[in-house]
Amino acid sequence: MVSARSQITDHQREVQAVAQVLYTRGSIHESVALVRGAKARDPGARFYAELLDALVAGDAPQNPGVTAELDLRLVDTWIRRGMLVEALALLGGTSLGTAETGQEWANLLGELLAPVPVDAEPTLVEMHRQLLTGGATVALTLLEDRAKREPSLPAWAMRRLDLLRWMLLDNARTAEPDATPDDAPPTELARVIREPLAVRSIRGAAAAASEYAAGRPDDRDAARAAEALANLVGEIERQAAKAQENQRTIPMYGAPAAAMQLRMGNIEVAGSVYERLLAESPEDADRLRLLKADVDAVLAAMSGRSLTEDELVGEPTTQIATHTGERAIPVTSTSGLPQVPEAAAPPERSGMMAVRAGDEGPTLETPDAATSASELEASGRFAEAEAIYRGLAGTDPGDPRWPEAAARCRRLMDRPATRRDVLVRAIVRVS
Amino acid sequence: MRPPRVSRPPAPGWSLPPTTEADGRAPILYVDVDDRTFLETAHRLRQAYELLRAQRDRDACDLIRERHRELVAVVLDVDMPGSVLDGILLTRILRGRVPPQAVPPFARHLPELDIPIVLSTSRAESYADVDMRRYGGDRLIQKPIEIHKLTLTITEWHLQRADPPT
Repeated sequence: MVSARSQITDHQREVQAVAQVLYTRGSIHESVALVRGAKARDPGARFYAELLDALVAGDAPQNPGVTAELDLRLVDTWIRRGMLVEALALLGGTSLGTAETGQEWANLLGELLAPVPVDAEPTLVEMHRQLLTGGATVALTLLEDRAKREPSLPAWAMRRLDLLRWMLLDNARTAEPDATPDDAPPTELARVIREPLAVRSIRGAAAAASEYAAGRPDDRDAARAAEALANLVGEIERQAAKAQENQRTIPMYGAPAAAMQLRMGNIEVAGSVYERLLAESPEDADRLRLLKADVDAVLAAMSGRSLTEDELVGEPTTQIATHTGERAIPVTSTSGLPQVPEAAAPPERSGMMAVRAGDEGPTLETPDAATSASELEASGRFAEAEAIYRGLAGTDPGDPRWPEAAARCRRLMDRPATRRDVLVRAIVRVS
Repeated sequence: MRPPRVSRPPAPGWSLPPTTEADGRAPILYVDVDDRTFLETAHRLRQAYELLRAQRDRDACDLIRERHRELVAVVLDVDMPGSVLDGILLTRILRGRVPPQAVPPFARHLPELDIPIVLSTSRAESYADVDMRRYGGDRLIQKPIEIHKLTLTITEWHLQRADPPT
């Protein structure tokens, strides 16, 4: 019997409703696997533990009072949220997994979640553990990081990287693990931006572009690139501030996932996330469109294309809002840069002056997975942070920082829970 | 609100490495004498697993002795025609549930396997899943085995191990 006293979120109700449908259809295995996956993803939620105990004891899940529409949209949503085990159980336990698209998704999930060899390196073992426990984005980060190092990944692991990009980001065919192209920078501006991004410091790139633009007041390309980078840094800070403000974990999908890619210097990947979000979230289209334009501006600068020309090609006259959605800015095919009225400039989007070289803190210079881990740790997600630290320790056994950090996370997890910890754990990654 | 679309770009395709399938994929032991169902199954399973195939019980025992440390799962045909042991008896042996004197010589001293054992059949309706579990199997799956069903079984086994009942 699932406790009626516990606070049940909409998401938990949805999982319960699907488990009930699967059970009723006779897909008992899938129903149990679904709830086990949910419990592994959110081990602190008593709700799933009770639901699982009931299922294993042979009790049908109670009707949660909501109806779950079992369709590919739900599967798609779950996949994008990293609920891979649950998505696989849903496909396997219904006729969704026998239709053409559903069957393909089921088979691809079956590939992605297949166990790694027993002698696989620790990073790949950890990647698999993350996949099974709701940390798909962390798994992607681990794999992308590992793919940059020697020896090269075995074919099966590269395949999983492709699958994971496709499932989470839609861009398996286009995403490159390294944000910076290998060819020589075609312009001085491109070089200035590429160098910091090569070590995954978007803040460094913003500062460098700002300094570059300040020394060339007539260079509109430099000004636009600096502004775009500052805007993207502002978005990273905005997402981090939102997480801090609510004292909750950051859902690793949607805008926070894009911000994570930005922070890692994966500008192109972030752009593809914004593109997808644009199609999915029309209510937030104005802000997303501006972020996508900023991404495109940075990519154009990195490849040496003229930003202003690039932005003007084929653009009709439209009204788009500022990133904060407060004002509409006229953009015309002849006006060049958006004409931002003085009063309309929101303080946090004030352009290139928002980021200076002196703003760089030591952690911001630390690239990739280490940054992700420290941010996860800071937001109370010790288990995931520990996982990444352990992955780093596996790939870089000579560096004592990683085992120490992992041990620190373990200690933090083992200490008596404070009210804040309880709050943090209680928020499902997909509330 | 759910996203209004489910369209995705084409899934990434790949070809298996041409020379060998032993490129580090996790190996599973697949015991079935029927070539047709094996071929139907193998194509998809090989995308993520290295398939060690045995047609009869003796070959299966030899492979288990040789590779048991690497195996991540065993798939046994329930009937195993042409063999002394059927899938259910071999499962019980692999789980250490048969007294040594009742085990044929070629199957003695096999290592006990602490990995999922899946029983496969073309007549799933003829067997009770609960019986399969009582014999030590983890799931009964209809042939041809689909990769998502096999992976879900293995995944659930792993999650259960990581979170034993209190």
